Amino acid sequence: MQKTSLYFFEEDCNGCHACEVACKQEHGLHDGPRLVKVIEKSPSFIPVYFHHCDDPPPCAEACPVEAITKDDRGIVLIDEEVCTGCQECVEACPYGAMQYDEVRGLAVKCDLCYERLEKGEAPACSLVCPSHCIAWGDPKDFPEAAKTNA
Amino acid sequence: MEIPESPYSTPEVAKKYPYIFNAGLRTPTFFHSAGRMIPVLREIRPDPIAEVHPETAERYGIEDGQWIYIESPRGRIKQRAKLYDGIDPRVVTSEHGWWFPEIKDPGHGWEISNANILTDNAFETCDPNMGATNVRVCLCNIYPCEDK
Repeated sequence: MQKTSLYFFEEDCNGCHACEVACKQEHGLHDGPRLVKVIEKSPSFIPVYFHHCDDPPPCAEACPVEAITKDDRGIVLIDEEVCTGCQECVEACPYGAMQYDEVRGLAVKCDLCYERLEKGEAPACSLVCPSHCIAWGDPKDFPEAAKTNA
Repeated sequence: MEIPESPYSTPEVAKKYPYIFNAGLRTPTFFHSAGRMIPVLREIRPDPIAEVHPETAERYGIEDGQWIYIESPRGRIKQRAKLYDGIDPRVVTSEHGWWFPEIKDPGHGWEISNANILTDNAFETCDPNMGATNVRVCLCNIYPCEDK
């Protein structure tokens, strides 16, 4: 299956943080876990997107119950039915991608809006970005100017 | 026309308050004073931001992200400094309309960081042609807060 990843044009980010809010709404998250974050380092805005690491992802290796898998699109996913909320993956992740949802007692991470992708829709962050600096697709089609999270 | 309080209109005030305060800094997360109680928005932008030119900040030992006091002849507020070289070194810009829903008194800490403390908001300084109120610009001084 086609690999799927987000890519973004950092110089176009205007720091509105709409991607963060859309992500929370899509994933039903409260304050606390942040799956995408825009860092403000004057005069730049730096969108921090979380990686879907090459095999084997450190989070998957750390997980004692094998709740974390990488699918054939290259998306690292957490099985919420299996996750025990032990936070071993949060410790293991070198990028801060693994977040802990205290309300549900589960690990959460960017799943590239998996359910939306299944329907052929854009990830929520990409959809709402007013300056169109977040795009998605197959990493081999990425334009030169884009920085990827692949 | 020159604004009522400026280095040109009131040079004697400018001796003690040498910087031009501009409450026109707009950031997209909130709409004016609204939405400060929404947790996911406060997570993104927890504190009021004032932009200070790096040269000005260096003069007072102000670091990026540090709480600073902004003082005018009418009072003093505190906001977090964001060092930004896109403004004139003589200018300090700040967000307006800040209040803190987590402070559980009836005023919700409105006097801590609100830019209206600094501006004169007086009918005497309304624009003589249009009657527009002077609620954006005045003279100010800045210095770091004790607590960073």
